[in-house]
Amino acid sequence: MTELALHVLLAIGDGAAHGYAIGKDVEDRSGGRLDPTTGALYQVLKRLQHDQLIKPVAAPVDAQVDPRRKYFALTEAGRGAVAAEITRLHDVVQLAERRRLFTPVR
Amino acid sequence: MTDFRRSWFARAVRLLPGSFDNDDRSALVEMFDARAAGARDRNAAARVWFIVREAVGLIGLIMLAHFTLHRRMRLADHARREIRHATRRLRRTPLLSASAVAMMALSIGGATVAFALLNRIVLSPLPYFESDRLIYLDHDAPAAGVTSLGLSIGLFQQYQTLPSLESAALYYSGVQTMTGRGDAAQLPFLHTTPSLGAVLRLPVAQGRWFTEAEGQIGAADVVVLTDTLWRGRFNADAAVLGSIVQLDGRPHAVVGVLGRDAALPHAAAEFVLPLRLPPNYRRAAGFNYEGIARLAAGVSLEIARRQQDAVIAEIPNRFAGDPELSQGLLAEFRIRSTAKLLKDHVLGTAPRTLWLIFAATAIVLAIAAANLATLFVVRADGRRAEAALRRALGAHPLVDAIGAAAEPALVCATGAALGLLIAGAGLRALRNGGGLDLPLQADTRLTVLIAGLAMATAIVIGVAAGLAGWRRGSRDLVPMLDAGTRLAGNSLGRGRLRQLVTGVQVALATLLLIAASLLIQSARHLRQTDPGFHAANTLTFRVALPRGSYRTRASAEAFHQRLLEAVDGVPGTSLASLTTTLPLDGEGIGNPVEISGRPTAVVNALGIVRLRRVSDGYFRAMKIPVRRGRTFEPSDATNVLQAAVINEAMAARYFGGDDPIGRQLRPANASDVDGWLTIVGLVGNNVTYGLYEPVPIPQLFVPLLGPVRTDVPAVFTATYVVNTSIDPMLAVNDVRRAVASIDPSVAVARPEALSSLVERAQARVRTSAAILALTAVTAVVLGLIGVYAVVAHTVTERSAEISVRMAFGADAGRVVLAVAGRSGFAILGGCALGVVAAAGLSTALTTMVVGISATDALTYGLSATAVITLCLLACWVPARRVARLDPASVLRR
Repeated sequence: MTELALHVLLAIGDGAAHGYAIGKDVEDRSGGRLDPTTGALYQVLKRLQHDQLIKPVAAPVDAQVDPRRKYFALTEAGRGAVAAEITRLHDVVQLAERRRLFTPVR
Repeated sequence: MTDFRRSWFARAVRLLPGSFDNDDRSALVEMFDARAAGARDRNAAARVWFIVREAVGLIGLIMLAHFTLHRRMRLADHARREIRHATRRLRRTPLLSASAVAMMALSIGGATVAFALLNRIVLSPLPYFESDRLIYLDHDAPAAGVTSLGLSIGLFQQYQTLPSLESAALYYSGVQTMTGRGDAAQLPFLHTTPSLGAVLRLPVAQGRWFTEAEGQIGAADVVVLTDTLWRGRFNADAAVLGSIVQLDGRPHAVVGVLGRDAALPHAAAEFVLPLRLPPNYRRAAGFNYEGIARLAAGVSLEIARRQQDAVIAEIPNRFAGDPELSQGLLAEFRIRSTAKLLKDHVLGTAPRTLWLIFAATAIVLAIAAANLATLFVVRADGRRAEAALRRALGAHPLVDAIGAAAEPALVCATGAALGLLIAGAGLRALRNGGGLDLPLQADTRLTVLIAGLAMATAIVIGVAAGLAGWRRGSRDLVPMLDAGTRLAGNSLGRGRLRQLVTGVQVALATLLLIAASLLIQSARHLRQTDPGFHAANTLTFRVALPRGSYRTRASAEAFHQRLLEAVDGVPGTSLASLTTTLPLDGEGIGNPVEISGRPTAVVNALGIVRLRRVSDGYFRAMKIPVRRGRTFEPSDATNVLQAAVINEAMAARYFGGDDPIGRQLRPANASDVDGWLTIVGLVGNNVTYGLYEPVPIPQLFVPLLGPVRTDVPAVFTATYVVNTSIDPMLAVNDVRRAVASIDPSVAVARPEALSSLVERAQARVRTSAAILALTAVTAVVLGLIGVYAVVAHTVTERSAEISVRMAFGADAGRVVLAVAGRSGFAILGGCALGVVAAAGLSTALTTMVVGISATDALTYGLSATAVITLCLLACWVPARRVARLDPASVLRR
């Protein structure tokens, strides 16, 4: 899983979100390090959708929204994929700590 | 601005494949709009950057969507599958595929060799630090007819103070005998002011370069070795520094060894000696040296030249008291600086030769590429029904394009791989001294970069050829499926493109054929040119006497007398003789002359003559014809009357219609000739610089041996000319023994048949002619194949129409004419274009075309006729075949 894909999944973690909000969230949380173009972001969304990690959902009724917006939410498989990826990263961090290549800030 | 941005993005989004539904598309546009709104507050540069990034991102999305999302298959899988299919299709037609591969291999191999040479020799800088600041210091004297005069010590010392030059060096090359390390050997060396190290930034591997003090008169004798000499004769001796070697019988201490990549101005030089100049030299003339300078930073060649010309203009003040100035020589010769970039001096006319050869090979490659395109257009036409079916079944057009490009790309890649093998072999042959005689030729290798470039070019050609076919195949699909294939292929536009390709091929082939014909005639002319002497069965070799053991002219003369007799006694030889300078072996000494009873100024205005000192048997050994009077006799050596012989060119220029025999003259400034000489004979002209000298050069011959003068440097290095009754090179060992029997410390240098000297002078034109002839023949053959293929395809395509016409009673001849007519027009047009192009480019050939005009009408006419005749034949064969067909059977098919 690419870093961008993981961040997209994390961005949807709180609940359904639309493309622009997802992009903004990714950019803000990475401190501007990840700043995908519209095309690149949509490519990831399309790929995740194809792999059935996210799914399109109806727009929230109460929101004052642009009718063109498309909302995405995590699927069960998507939650599993995030958990698996985070576990993998966690293992990597622990390994690096044991080898004294990394000291976490506590 | 916003509208525009939205509009381009929205429009581009439409290029996404069907897997992106309307929801996706509008969501994408909405995302972009929101982001664009956020970018509106940024500055102009950031806004531009935003648009560029968004555009790139969207293009990436569109491309990936087509390949990975829509087909659910990766690009690599597509490529693999299409290459597999292409290989299969190619295997089905092995002969055609092999011919196409061979065609590409030859044309790419040839173009690669030509480009490698061009890249190494012309396009790469010389191997020096900031080599574009290095200039070669030269002069010409238009009034004396001298184009390359060289540099004198006096002018060099004046130039050293010029602000336009950061540093300058004066040098000359020569030969000295090295003894003490292995056998005595004559080795080429460079005698240079110590400043050369700074000018060229020469790398030193061991020890050091010369100090400035070692360039002063009276300093100890030191030598710097080249890497080649150190590794060869010195066996890479680690303790070489400080050791003593004997050079011309004098001990020299080795102070340094140059780095492996140190390039000296004379590539053959094996060691370097410091040149010691007298300070404040008071003589302006004596142009017997060469010079290299480094321009000061930011100074142009033009400025340097102007400053040098200013020095020349001030010669009377700067060299007050120089006796030669009173003769007005320098003023009348109108000497001027012709300083040029060192690279231009080193390369000479080589760039023209190389560009010519590269252009020729590129033309062949272009014709081959056009043939390949024609071939695959024809193939694509044959598969139009299949393509239409695939489209109808939902195959993506881009996948189809890959399929179309894979086949020719595979042909080209295979061809290029074989072509690189050919190129490697060709360059190896050139490194080992193959015919072109170009500077740096021995350094040219097939680099990874050039191989990669060749491969990339081949693949681009292949893909382009394939896409040309694909564009044809992807059009008109509905009528294809509707109406079958037979009559639908007759669109006018397709014919026009093919005729255009044919026309261009014919034009290029004509151009090459004309150039090759001109060069072949030049080579033949050079072979038939009478150089003024007979080169067959004649051996030449050089002998340089070590100054340490031959201190006087008398001792040197005694050596030569004994050697002449000894060589005459060698079995199979006769007529041994001596000269200072052979024809074709450089200019030798050039001098103005004084003629008794004629005003100096008048004679000076006639220019200079080439001075050759020869022994009495020289004219007989060279078989130079005597026109009047006599040549030298042994008695001239003791006679009070000092004899001279001149050639016809000198008689014509200096004496006009008068009889020159008995007239008196003497070379001005020749330190070794004093007193008046009397002309005793007139001989035929013989060449001086090169085989092609439209205006013969005046020569003055004086006796080499005899008691006339003392301290003549000429006798210490002399060239022997010996007639042989056997292959000249077979006599070399006997000659070496004869030399050793007189003095074992004297070496025989550069033994060579006189005929190979002549062959070398012909080498570049002859080899260029051979290469061009080869490329021209290839171009014509490929062009013919192209014409044949186009006509054959046209008639096959139109066979139904032709049959209908014939069934209605049309005459076979008229049918043939109708079919071949359009191609005939293309051929005539192409040929005319080729002739015009050749005439336009003829100036590029002028330095290589000799004995014939570069716009010779007969050559142009014959070449054009040959191309037209062959092309019409190539049209006629397939046209004739179709005219013979039975209309009924064609229509039934």
